[in-house]
Amino acid sequence: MEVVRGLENVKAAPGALVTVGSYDGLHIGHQRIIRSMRRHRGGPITLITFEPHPQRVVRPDFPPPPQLTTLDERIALFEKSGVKRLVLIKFDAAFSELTAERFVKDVLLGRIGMGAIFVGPGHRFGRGREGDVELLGHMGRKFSFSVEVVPPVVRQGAPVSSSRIRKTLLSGDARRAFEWLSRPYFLSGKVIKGDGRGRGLGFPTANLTLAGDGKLIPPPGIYASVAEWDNLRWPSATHIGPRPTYPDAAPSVESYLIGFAGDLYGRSMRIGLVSRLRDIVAFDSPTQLSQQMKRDVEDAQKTLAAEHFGSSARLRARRFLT
Amino acid sequence: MVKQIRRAAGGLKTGHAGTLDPFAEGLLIVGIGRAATRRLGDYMKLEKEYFAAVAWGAATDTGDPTGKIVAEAYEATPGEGQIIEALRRFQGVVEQTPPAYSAVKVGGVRLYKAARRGERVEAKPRPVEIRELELVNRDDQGFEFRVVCSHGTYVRTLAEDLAQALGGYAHLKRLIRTRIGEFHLEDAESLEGVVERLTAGGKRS
Repeated sequence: MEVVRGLENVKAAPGALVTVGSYDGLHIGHQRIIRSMRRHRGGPITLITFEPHPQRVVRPDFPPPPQLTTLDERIALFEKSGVKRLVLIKFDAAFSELTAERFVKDVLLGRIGMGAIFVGPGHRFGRGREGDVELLGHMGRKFSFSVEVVPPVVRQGAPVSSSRIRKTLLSGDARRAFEWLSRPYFLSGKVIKGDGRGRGLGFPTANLTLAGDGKLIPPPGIYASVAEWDNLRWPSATHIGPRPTYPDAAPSVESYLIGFAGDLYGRSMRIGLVSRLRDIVAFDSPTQLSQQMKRDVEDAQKTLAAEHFGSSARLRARRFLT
Repeated sequence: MVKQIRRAAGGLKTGHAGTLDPFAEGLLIVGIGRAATRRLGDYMKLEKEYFAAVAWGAATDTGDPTGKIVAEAYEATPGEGQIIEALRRFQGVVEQTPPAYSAVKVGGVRLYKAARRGERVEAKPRPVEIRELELVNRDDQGFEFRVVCSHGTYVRTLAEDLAQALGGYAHLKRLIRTRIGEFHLEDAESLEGVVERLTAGGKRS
């Protein structure tokens, strides 16, 4: 995949198959749009996205919601899904004034060489979000490009969207987010030296300093999770939030890798949250906490087996085979 | 199935690309109208993805649940490690003998027609390519796998060959085609949906 930063660096590719959006999380609805581009004949599959988030420019007083994926994470996901060209447009005040028609004519047709555009039915674009699918249809006939409106993926009676997944995660339903993203929701960071309390309790944990500014942090709790580093994937139980049993301890993100023995300090690690197991509670003694941790680990193991260890192939197997 | 769609399409020329076993489920590419049916040939040779559930312990003459049991062994499903190891050996280009109950023609006769008449006609082994093969579940009753394979691969046969490699008998309990080339089951319309859209007035699909 070619990553082009800035419109001025784009070389037009005639017949390009184009889609525009922030594509945060690359969820199952996004994936359907990209699959329909892969089925289409034409130029390179081109994804256009904006940096920074347009809302930072249009509504500086009202910051955009926390993101499901950092730009680096999105780039990796786009590459894997078959996008051939990623165009990052610098979104500034001038760009925000561009009308929908000019955006199509100057940017999509002029710069990119668009032959077909792929959008969801609710897609809006241009100054003040004035452009919609109907306008695209008119312009498509006039300038002869095709407009493919891809039906949304509907779950629980409504289209899957990034904002719905954010709400789902924030409400504590990591399992549903896993289903809608087709992969667990990931936090990533570096393993740092903790206080060694976990080790003392019989459950040494990897403490994470989170990377990725603006990334959504799910609500405090204990999660069944998978830890990934290098090419390894390991079942784990993760704590997110305050540690009320130890009043002096700051909130943390830490993960007990079930049955793992080894040194992970300094490594980059991803924690994929598969399901939320319980709230954080204060215990009267470390012994009680340790007993609860034992139960948490058992719960995590059971949940992970039932949730196919956060594997997307197993998730699809469950969808298709049961 | 194609008949139902043809009727709903008001008798327009209708055809499909790639047969799906009668007991199987999943994706079928259907072309409606002359232009669409003409393009069906392009889709025949595309790779396919299936999810399959293997019932461990008994082989049937058809390799699926509709057949008669022809061999049984009361042994537990092999362990996860053993299955994964066996799956690994079947990846790549492998020789496969099409099952007796299949649409493959030998000497101008469809194998399933000969088999139904009680004749024994042996098809020649032919190379097929298994591009991806992974275990997705395992329990006491059997196991489930996901396979991506070249066109012409019989998953029924793959399951039987796997069972043999694992030292037992098995047949396919369920088979779901989830992808043909870039066409995904997740994006497909249900049969009812297609019929409804056609009868509601739309003529194209």
